[in-house]
Amino acid sequence: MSERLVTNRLATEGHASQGLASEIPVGEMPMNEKPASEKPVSERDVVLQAEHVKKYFPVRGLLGNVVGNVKAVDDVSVTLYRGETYGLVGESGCGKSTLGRTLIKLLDATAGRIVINGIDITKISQREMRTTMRKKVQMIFQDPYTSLNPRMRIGEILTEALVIQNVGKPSERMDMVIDMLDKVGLRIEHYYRFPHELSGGQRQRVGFARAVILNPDIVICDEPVSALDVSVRSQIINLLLDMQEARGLTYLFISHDMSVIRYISHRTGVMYLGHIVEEAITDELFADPRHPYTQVLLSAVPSPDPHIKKNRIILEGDLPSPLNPPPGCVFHTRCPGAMPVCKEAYPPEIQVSPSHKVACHRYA
Amino acid sequence: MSTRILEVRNLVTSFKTDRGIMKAVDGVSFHVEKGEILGLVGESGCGKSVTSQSIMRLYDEKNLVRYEGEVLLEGRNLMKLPEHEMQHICGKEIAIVFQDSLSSLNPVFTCGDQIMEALIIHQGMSKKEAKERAIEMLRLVGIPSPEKRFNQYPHELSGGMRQRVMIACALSCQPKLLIADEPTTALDVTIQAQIMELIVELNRKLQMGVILITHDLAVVAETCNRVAVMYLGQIVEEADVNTIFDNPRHPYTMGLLQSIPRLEGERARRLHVIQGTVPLLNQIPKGCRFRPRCPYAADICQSEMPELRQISDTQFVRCWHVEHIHNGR
Repeated sequence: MSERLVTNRLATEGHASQGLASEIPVGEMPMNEKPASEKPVSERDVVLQAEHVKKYFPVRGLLGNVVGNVKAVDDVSVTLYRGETYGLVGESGCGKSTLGRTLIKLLDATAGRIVINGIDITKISQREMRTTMRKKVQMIFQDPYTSLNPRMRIGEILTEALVIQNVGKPSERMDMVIDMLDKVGLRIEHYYRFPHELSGGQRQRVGFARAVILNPDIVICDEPVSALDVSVRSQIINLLLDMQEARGLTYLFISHDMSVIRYISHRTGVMYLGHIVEEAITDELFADPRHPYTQVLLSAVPSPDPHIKKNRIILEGDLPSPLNPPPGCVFHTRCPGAMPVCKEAYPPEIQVSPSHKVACHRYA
Repeated sequence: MSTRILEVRNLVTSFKTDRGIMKAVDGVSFHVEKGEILGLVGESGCGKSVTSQSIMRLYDEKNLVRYEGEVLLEGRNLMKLPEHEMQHICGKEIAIVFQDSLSSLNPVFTCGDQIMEALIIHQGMSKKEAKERAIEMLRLVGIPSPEKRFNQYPHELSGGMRQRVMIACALSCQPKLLIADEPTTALDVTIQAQIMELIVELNRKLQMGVILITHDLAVVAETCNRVAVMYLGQIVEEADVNTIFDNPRHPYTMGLLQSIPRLEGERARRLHVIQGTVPLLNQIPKGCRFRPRCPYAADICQSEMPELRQISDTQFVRCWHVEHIHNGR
């Protein structure tokens, strides 16, 4: 607890009375002066470290024997620092959601190490995960319509989380829930409402409240704003930012929308077919994308300014099947600048600057 | 005058529901010129899809829906046509591409069959001619090895390919007007770029009018010539694309433009927020419909609904305060 407050103080340098961050009304929180990721490495505090994580889904033949593997996540290493937002961007089917779920053990990793707060969660059972770790790692989902039980009232949905994790005394829980509703911008009367009575944005607030009420360190946000309208989307994004500020939360923010990722995340990883092909501080990634896939992705994003005419790089073909990914660099089948070596070996990870990594033979 | 393909005048579409009559579209007027792409923008529930489907009269008129107003396709009022004549117009002169290509294509027919169907019905082609034409269409929309795709079923294709098949179906009879209802919303950005490029290219090549319905302002900025912004069943602002983005005058348009995160420029400290949410159709506010969410609301907004007024050659705005509000960007 005290550790969290300290980092929180660090993260908001200079603002008075940050020690009581959680008591400051959410709407008035100032933005991070300096995101955690821009500080020297020694000051940063690792909350999650994943090394060479793989998640394969076996494909069974007629006789029930394993005939192949869908390599949804293939040798991914990622580190999350306390208080930062790590954006994970990629097209559908690239494995970003699977990675998010594997990192918090909603799915068991096939190989690799995932250390959260000093505990390797690949070594513990699901049961231990539930009792000791689940409180610390929470998730919010894309579809606010299906991620809330339609038969439970909002109050019950939030209380359930507290009951399962045995947080607070039964007599206190209602107050905790009402307090939380207030923090996410809902009102007391929503306590007795059912999910269908709420709008999409309000439901997403409930989903977020359910995750945050347990006071987690890490929240995995899987496309939390993709199903929302423009005007509601900005409300939710601001809420996420305010909560991060107030509680020192770490987000893994999964999205296919480059402009949202650019806005919200401190560091960004680009995924293609199970691999993180490029990773950098967000501003650096958008200003100077190195991997050809990142360049293609950025050129494809339409710009809300009719005067900007983009030079589009149009990709040939479709995403190859993760059941049978191409040998060598997974992107070589569609890469505009593929070289012979790309067909043979997966490119090494190249550090193009202290905060910018790319996996491409071009820079080797 | 003759270049005006479609003109919609005071279109009202009301649905009979358990909670009474609801007007999903309330007095919408706009037009589409030949070779023009008109963007119809708004958040979900603002009536943009209902507008487009009303143009084609796709709702069950016997029980559920009542249309008022006029829809003139090259001067002919579609609202007055008997239903069997309407069938000759849908698909032949006006075609529509929906968002969800998996549920809009028939899963038990091959892609080829579905393109041929329109050709055989509307153009009276023989099967052989229709097949040739269908393959030609598949090639036109950029599908590789069209002869092979012709015999495949929708589930065998990827989302982007299916959307291309939908477009091939829609364009097979060379319609005068194409309605594209969120054609790329379910697709990835790289595929979206391909599909939008295709629509723009075909629009130029075939000189058809296009109504592009979307909630994505960035797509609008890149493809449309003119834009109509809808809110709760009404058009609140209409202008050419540059004016909408450079000099929006309705508070809702301004709010929408400010609340999108951008790829270029500074990252703002906080995203702009339009307060509240779109009200339900049975809770439409009195007076100006945007009033409860509007930062500029005044007494007059509560009592009287503003008309859509022309403020320059190309710009129309529905707001009492146009003179006082200037681009806040």
